[in-house]
Amino acid sequence: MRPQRRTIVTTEVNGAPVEALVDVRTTLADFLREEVGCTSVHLGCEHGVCGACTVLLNGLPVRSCLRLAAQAAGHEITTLEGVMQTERGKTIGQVFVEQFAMQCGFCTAGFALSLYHLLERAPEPVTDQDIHETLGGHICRCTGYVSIVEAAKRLRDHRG
Amino acid sequence: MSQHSPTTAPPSTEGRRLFDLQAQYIADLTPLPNLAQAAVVRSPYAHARIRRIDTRAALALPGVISVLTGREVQEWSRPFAVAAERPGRYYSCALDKARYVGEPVAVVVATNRYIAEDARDAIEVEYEPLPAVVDVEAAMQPSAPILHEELETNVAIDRQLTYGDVAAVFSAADIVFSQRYVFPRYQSFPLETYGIIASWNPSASQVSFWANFHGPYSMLAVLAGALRVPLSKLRVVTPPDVGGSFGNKIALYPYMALMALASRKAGRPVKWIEDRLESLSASSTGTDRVTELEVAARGDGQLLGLKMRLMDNVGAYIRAPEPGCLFRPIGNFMNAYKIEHLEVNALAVMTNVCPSGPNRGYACQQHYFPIERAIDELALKLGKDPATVRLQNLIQPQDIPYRTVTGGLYDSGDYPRATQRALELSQYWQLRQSTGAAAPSDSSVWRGVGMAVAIDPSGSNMGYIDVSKKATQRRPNLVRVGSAQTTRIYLDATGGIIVELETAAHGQGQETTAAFIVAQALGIAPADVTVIAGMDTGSRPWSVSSGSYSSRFGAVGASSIVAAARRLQENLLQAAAYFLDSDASRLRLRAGRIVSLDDAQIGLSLKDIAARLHWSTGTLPPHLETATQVAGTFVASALDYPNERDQVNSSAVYAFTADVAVVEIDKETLDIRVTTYVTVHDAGNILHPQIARGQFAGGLLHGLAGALYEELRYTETGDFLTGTLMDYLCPTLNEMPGSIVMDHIVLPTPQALTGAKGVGESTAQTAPIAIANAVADAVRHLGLEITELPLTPDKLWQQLGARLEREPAGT
Ligand code: FES
Ligand code: FES
Repeated sequence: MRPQRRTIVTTEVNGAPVEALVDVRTTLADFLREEVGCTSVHLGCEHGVCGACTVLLNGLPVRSCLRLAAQAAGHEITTLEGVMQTERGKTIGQVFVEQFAMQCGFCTAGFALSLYHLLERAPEPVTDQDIHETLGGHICRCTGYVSIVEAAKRLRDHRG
Repeated sequence: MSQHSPTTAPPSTEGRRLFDLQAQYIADLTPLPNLAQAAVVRSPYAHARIRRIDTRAALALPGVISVLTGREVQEWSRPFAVAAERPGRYYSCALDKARYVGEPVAVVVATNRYIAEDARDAIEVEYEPLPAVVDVEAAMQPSAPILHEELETNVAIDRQLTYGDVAAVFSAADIVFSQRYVFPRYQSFPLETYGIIASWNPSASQVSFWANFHGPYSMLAVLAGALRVPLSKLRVVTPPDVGGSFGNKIALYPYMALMALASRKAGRPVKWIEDRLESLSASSTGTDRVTELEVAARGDGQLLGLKMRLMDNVGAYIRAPEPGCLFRPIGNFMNAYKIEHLEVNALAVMTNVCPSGPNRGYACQQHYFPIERAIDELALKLGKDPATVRLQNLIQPQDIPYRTVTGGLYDSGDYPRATQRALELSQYWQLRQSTGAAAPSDSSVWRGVGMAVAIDPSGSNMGYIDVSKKATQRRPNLVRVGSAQTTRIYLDATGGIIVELETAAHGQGQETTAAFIVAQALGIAPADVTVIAGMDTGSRPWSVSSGSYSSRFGAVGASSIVAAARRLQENLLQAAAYFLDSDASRLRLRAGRIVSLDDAQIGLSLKDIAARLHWSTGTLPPHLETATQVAGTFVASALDYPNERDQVNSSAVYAFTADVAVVEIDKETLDIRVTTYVTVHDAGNILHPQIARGQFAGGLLHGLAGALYEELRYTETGDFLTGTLMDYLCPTLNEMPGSIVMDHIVLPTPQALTGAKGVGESTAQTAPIAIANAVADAVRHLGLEITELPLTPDKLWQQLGARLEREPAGT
């Protein structure tokens, strides 16, 4: 084993500048959790399938378990911590809570971020198909997706 | 005060915490300073002797603290106890031989996980591979490789159970047939994997754990035994948030032992978060089973008796709570049918795969799959409809309370009504006209409809497991019976209510429900009830049956909350009577106030009473000294110990589920889609409608997964094939049924203070079967037989191909 090379990562997480010395092999997910304290980022599979680790990179959903922290340099990262500072984020939270769109909650931040992106970016109108495609990229083991779809449709219908 | 009146079910407290960014899962915790990280070295072989472990290169890496191997594990611990005749010796780590791919061989502890994994790769283990066996029937052959040489067999349990007069009904029957059924190996797959922080601190009075463990706490007795410490020397903290389990995390305790020993070796606290490959290959899985079933029936469809040979593949070591898969459903062995004659040969067999354990619906899907498939076959043989045969054989409402021949007590329910409701909602009878051979031939799909019913047992009786032993071999001086739970409630000095949950919830919304129950009892808003989540065995009351498992919260856990709330109510009345100089029987608790029946002007608020009870302790009469602190204990009442005829009431209450599935199979791709799924429950009183609904939908997902997608597969030599989500196919939204209809009827159980039966596992038991029956209906006219799961396009294709070879001119 060779000693690992380190690098200084300069990035922006949830609107705040972050600069840290990290092993080059540190994943973005570990970096966000351990260095920045964004514990809403959850690791369900660490191989890019479950979607629990989804964050926004320059506004686009990405799987933070598949990226290196070093790749975040110069980009803007948003996690649930950041989204909850926005009105839309608060609405998503409220509707999820009222609809019981979570049980154990481990998948929830991932769903919320992808949905945030859909509601934010999709040109009008957001169709049921759009919702299915967006939510279909995430695994939830608790809800059978029923309440998550209901929450998503409610959010779509109340989108202002 | 919150805007919710106490009669409106409150929104999710747990969800609120998540969006407030205050969730605390095990991976988020650093409860101790100096926390090191562990990585587990695992066997790449299914069966191999461990010749040598060289840790030098690993220990030379900067940041590496220690390596624990089987040597210390053998010296510092004992094998885990389990209720089996021939258990083998199961330690938290392989000693001289590894018996499945993924079995722990050593634990590296380092300053961070990356270094620990580097060191893991630097450890050299010399293996001598041995022949392996993974198939349960093959493992029973005399020529099979033996996993535990000292036993001279792979059969850990071989029990013969007989109820009624089986020989007589079989000889009197008009129709007798037999079939072999295979139930696959799949896993609950909680999205959050195992996580443990263990601290073996010689200066502390206890070995401390933070872990996503949720009971049954009887497993801690097994853990203490293995670690050779008294139970009182263990402290286990479960964080407020646990990312699901569905039974999977019950088998966390061997890793708790392993990490405690790793911490002992390292001399500092150790944290380990399992990765997904570890979880799929080496945490715990549902038991796969081969059943040989023989059915005896009358010509009119009346079921007379069953003979079942159950062959459970328990994996490399039979591990508690196994052999629960054989015996947990004993009281409901006959499902919801009036069958009085049964013979069971229950076998637990060890093979070179991961040890098995509870999986949502523990044992019921395995047990009902052959029975419910065979009822469809019986109907077909008699030219009747499967629904008709079921309705004919169901226990009728006038039979209830009904004592099953195996000892179960079904205390409430109307099975025909719930079944009729499912048939109605699914338009079953109309559908029957257009499925299978009756489907239009120009359609691009084959269509099928199928149903299943299930008794859903909840609140396991600690005693059922002793059926694994013959009556003469049971411990005469330890009658294990019961299911009990305690909840404590406090009234603070300002009138606030604190409920301390002791059930180690993991996604069931118990905080929300607990607040709702207490708010309703006291006439206050749920938001005014503070619920302490998580669990801590060091400071909260618990017993061996505590925890959240076997869907026991609704009937047992929540009943202890009701018991505590009632006690507090009583104390408030007594206190008000004292302060108002009145008679308690003339006082009532209404909307958070004690009021007098005689004079509407006289009354005291919760706040007034609380202030006086806390601030005026010096003046209180003895009966009010502890009025602000109550503990409610609920003990399930109708449970018993297995008798000499092996009868036992194995669960506190029994819910009921009736499901109908409609499937379509693409004629070209053989892709199977569930287009409609109808599930009707009798879960007694529903404590929180949205939470119950979420449980039903979640159970459906697990059942659908088992029917069509998820299977832990091994090669014949025991190599593990399904270590990622590309091989182990968890359903996404796109695989869910196009239409899901959930309904329930309410017949409260008198056994629970809540009147609630279980909701958590129900559809996970029925869905694999209803879907299998629907697929069977769709393809029967093609000559295909459905006797095993999961049903995949590939398997259908093989059967179709084989049939075309047999009958080239066929349809
Ligand atoms: S943890 Fe990144 S996709 Fe599963
Ligand atoms: S809420 Fe548990 S995984 Fe989705």
